Amino acid sequence: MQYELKAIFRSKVTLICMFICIILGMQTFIQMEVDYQTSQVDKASNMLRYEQNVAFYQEQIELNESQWDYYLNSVYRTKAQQAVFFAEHEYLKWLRNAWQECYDYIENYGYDRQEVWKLEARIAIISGLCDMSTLSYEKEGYFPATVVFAEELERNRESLRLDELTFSLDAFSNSPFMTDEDRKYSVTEYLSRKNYVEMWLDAWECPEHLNGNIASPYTFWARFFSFYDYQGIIIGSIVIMFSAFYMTECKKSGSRQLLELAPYSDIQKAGYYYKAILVAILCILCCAVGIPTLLAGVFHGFGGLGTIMWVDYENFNGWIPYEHGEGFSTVFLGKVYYDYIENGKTLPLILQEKAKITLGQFLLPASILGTIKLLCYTLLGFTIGYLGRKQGRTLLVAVLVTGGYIISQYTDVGMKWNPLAVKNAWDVTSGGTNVTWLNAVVIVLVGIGILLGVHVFLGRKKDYC
Amino acid sequence: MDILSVKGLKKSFGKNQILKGIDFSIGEKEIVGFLGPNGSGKSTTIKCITGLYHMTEGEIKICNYNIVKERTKALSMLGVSIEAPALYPQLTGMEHLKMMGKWRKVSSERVREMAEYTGIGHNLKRRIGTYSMGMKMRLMLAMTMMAKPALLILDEPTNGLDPQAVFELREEMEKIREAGSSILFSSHQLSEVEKLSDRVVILNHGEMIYDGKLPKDIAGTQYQIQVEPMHQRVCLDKIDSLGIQNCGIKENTTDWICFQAESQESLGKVLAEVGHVSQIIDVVKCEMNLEEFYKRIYQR
Repeated sequence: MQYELKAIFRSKVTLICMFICIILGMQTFIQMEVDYQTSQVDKASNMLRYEQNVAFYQEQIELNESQWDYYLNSVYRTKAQQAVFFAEHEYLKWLRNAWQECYDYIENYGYDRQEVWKLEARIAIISGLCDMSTLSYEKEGYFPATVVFAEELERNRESLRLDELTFSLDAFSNSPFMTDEDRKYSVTEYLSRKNYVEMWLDAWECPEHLNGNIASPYTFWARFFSFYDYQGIIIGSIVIMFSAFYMTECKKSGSRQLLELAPYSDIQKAGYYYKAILVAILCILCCAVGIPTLLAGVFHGFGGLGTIMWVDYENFNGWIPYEHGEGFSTVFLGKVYYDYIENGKTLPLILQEKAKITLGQFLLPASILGTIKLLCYTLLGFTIGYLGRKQGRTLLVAVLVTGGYIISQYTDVGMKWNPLAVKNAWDVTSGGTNVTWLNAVVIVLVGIGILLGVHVFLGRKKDYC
Repeated sequence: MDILSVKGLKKSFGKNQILKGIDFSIGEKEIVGFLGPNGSGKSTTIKCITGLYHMTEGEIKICNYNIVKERTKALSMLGVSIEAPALYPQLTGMEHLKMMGKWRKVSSERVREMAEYTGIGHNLKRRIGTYSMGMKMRLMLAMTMMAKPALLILDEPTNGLDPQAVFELREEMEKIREAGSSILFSSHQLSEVEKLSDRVVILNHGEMIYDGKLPKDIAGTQYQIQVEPMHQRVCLDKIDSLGIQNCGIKENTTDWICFQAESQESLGKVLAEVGHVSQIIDVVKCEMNLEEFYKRIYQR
């Protein structure tokens, strides 16, 4: 195989494919770096945002104070109502001060992204807890945040500086301003808030957490394979076309005849070429993905494998993916879909359908699916090139199949049986695509089996040349 | 033992029958020329023998290994060079030799030997894309002969070779035979076939029309006598009545009669009989070459 590989790597087609793949990889890498650097120097816009938040809450506080007599001092208000109103007032003051703290931090210490993120995350968690408690509906089992996240809050009491709060997180849970009817109506919103808090607490507890804007090798992978999914489709197309084209080249130059006349079995001969093409494709992909990965690792370190990935509960042992709308958010390094979008308003993220695993655990099933997809597409192109007789016709078939692959990827044609319609391994593993991970693995494996069958059946009957 | 045995070989592409039942065999240390006009089925036969084509009917055995059932073993007995040299344009000559050495599991010593045999010296380090046809042919031959196969099949081996290379090839083929291999080779250069072969197999329209010795080895000598034109027919009848072989009128003449006499004695008989009916103007002893033989076979 050593000489076959030499021949492959000296071929112009290989060099062109490698060049395209490297360009794709580097484009993603550069985009990631630009986004990261942009967020690093985005000091002014953040300060403006903090200033606006401070002003907004100051206005809310003043509005509350103007109604002080009506709400707090009125004899018509119950003690409970007064307590909630007071707590809410304190909460607004805390929010104003917290945003001011962010502003002051930047002004005094400059834009340290990690530190500012911590300040923002604390605000997100505490405000989420308050919202969740407000919407709680204990009678139906939707408990206040302090009950649901009791352990987490205890663990992070110090880092979240909960003791500094001048209001009780529990104060909102029995708000007399909300009727049972209101609470019932707000269950979905409650669940959404719960997911929101859970997501932020995960990030808080994982100091190395990554997201699409934090540059790292894994962010590069997420961007390359998932966020910019057209790149994965281009890579898939290159794999199919390259495999087919190289085999037709071997036939055209007559070099394949050399092996056909060597004392090897049909399987050994086909295996010889398949292995060589597969190794070549792996090398091409290693250049496309490996170079930016190494660069990102050298610049930003290889940490972040503890980042939480939300995956579908049923993804690894079920056949039915969860239902969701078209819209999605990227939570850490995965896509999380919205339930549905109504009148332009996005409704809750469906985190309740999901389980949490670390990025390290996520990469294993994602690599398994990615690898068998690569084996399948290489085998597909190879089968077309190996069994085709005339170069022109063979290449036409390869182009048509590649076209079918692109259409399948964008339109989900035959998504339950078509290996070409299986989306990128990253998205399938995190769930929410049209097939579960298990389903996708089975579809692709069946595809490989069929291609091997075609090889054995047609390969034995076909004349060479 | 037959090194190659082809029995009832038929090959069709769809409804088009290319080979209509070919039978021949090659013995040990035998060099067989494979002849026929373009489209006669030579290459198809060779491709069936080497397993590149699946035969429609028949049986092919190489050193008693069936090419269908024991393909790997059968191919291990073969060294093949078909038409245009099948080489990787991206690899160098030396890389080809090493690759073939690995495939055929021969020693590096033998690889070096064959590198020398190619006679293309430092060009072996250059990529095939820069080689002339002759250089490619020499390299291909070296690769074919590398594993000292029991049967060497060469399809048009002299194509693109300069006279010196053709001469060397002839010598090499003799050496290969001496080393114990048999050779089946096709060529349109009949003089080469005549010089190299022990036997020829001739195909036409997918049928075998001759399998036998070269004309130079066939018993008997060809003679031509010139008689008076008016007595030509009578003379022919006389010679025929003596049971003399291959008797006929020489092409494009009216007064020359050709025949084949087994010995001086039978020649004397012919001259005596013909002398009774006509005046013999001239007698010529002629060596029939393969070209004439080939023509005659096709005229039949």
